[in-house]
Amino acid sequence: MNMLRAEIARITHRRITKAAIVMAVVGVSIAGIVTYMTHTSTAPDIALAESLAAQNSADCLTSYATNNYGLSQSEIDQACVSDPAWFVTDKNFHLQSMLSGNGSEPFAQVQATTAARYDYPELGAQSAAYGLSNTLAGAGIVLTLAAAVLGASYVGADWRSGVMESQLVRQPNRLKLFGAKFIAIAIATGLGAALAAAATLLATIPSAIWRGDAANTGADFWIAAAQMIGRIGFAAALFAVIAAAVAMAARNTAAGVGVGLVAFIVGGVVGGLGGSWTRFVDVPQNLRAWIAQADVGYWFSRSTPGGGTETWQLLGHGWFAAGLLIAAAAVAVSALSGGSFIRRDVS
Amino acid sequence: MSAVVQVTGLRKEYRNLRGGKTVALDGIDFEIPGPGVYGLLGPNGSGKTTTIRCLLGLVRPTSGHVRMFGADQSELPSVIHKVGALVEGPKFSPNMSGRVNLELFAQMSGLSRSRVHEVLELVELTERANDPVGAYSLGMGQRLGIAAAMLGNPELVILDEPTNGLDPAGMADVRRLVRRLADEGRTVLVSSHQLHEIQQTCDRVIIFDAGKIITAGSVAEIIGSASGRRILVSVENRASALDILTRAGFSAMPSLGADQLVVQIEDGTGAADINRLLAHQGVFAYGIAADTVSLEDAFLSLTTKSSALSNPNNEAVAASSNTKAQS
Repeated sequence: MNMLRAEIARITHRRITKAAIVMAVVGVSIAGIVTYMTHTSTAPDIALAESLAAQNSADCLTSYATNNYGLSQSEIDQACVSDPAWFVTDKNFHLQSMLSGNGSEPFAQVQATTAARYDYPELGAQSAAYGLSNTLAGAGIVLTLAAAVLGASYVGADWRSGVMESQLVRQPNRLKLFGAKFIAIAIATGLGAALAAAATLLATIPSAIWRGDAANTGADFWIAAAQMIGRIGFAAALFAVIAAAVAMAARNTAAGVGVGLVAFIVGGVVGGLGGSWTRFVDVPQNLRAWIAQADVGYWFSRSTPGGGTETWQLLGHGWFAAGLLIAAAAVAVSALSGGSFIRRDVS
Repeated sequence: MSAVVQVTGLRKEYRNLRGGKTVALDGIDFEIPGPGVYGLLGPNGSGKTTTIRCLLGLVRPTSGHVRMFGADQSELPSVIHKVGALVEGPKFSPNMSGRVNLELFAQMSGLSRSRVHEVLELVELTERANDPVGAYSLGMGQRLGIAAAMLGNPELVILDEPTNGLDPAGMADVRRLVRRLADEGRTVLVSSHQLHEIQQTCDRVIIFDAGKIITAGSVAEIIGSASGRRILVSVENRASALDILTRAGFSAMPSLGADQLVVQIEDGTGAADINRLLAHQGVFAYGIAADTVSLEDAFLSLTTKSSALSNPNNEAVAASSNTKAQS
């Protein structure tokens, strides 16, 4: 326990931790302010809507001028009423859309739009792409990648400064030191990412109150939000552990960050190539699926009798399996790294 | 009661990617029985630091055994609280203060913050304790390293080059500190290139060369043995004497004195043999005396001799690597 407490204290004393906290506070504050500033209809928006409504009304009346279909003028006038409100972009901020869709559209509207946009019966409306549009899920991905950089940095800095050697002189039980370091990294980055995600949600509340609405944000909403924040924290902890494990094996930060970045990019590219197995290495899609409780799909193509090609996105595996995949990767990489740490000389 | 440190047949090989190997330690044996100051001396790459790393479990021996307080390497965690070490210079987080660095080490060992204050006072760093370590001078960092080694109030203190970067006053402070630790009943193992420091501080010395121990004993014994090997010959015709001795197979060289030669003698040879040889050739020495040597002279003499002998056909060095510090 002393070791774990000391490792957590070491993390909190690090300059990069303090810098990350400042960046998170600034980033969340800016996100909150920008959301508040952009979610209101401006005078030019309204003027444009009024002009579009007038034009629409005029076009309607013109079309009835050639053929009135037996309607009276009063009936035509009524049919050609055009409400400027129809043409004002909905810029109200709906708090519930933090979890369910684009921040400026009501929940039901987003659901309908998304269902139409991704009309794949096999996959359903809750696709990974749909998940990406979730504000909180997007923030979660950024936080997870930041956690990976921090995880690699914590371990790499200990090697670079020689602190790792100083610690081994005090604690020759390497498994114990490895365990304390990695548990501390998982706790610190997981909690940090969860707190930052919660702060992101809270930063949009002023927008919901004064520039939108907080409708349908009862107990279910807050439970779902808490679950998503928990999943973000868990994903951040796992990614930090993976990056730290690579940095531990290579004994420097750059390897942890570099290998993580390459895995993220290459995984995404391979995932887009098609074939049912590619979804297992598609790091970005699995991460999005885990955070947004979405499904992981894969592309399936076949030739048509007419000589063309049909392509579908099919359901691969669910969000829980995506989380398990990430956890399994973290365990495997940590085990390899731990084995190397225990056996290799420090010279 | 078991020895504080016991090393038996310790060998360490490093293998490179091409399949070659470097022998860092070639089957060394030594024992440190108890309190006192013990010096590890040797040129760069002679195996001093590798020995310390093996003792502390940082490096796994290829073969042989290391015991500290009777515990072998696998039991090291059970005795590590009795050991404090500074290996190859101080190693701290440069952005954290000296105090925070020490507090974090203390916390991982379950030690109190008051102990941090005590060791900072011990090395006289209290005033600068809240500055980041990155802003410390080399000497301050070295003192902080010694403070870190002393955190657990250890029975065995291992200091690898503790005076590196210190000014003369700092060196004197470390010397006094090391002596004080020994006087308190601790065992101090010091590795150093500062032969003058070792001569003034250590009770016993182990001299390394090319991964082997070439001699061990008290400073006086080592100087004495080296003194016995070199004699100062005063002659009027130095050039002739030098020629005669060289042809006879002696290692001789002119000394700083105008008429003097320093002659290296082998076991079984004495001053009388030199005198007889010169007189037989018509050169008469008017003075023959044992050369006064420092530990540095002894060290250079021993390590040069060892290097000259360290070829695969010579067994003499291998035999001398089985030495006990307390012998």
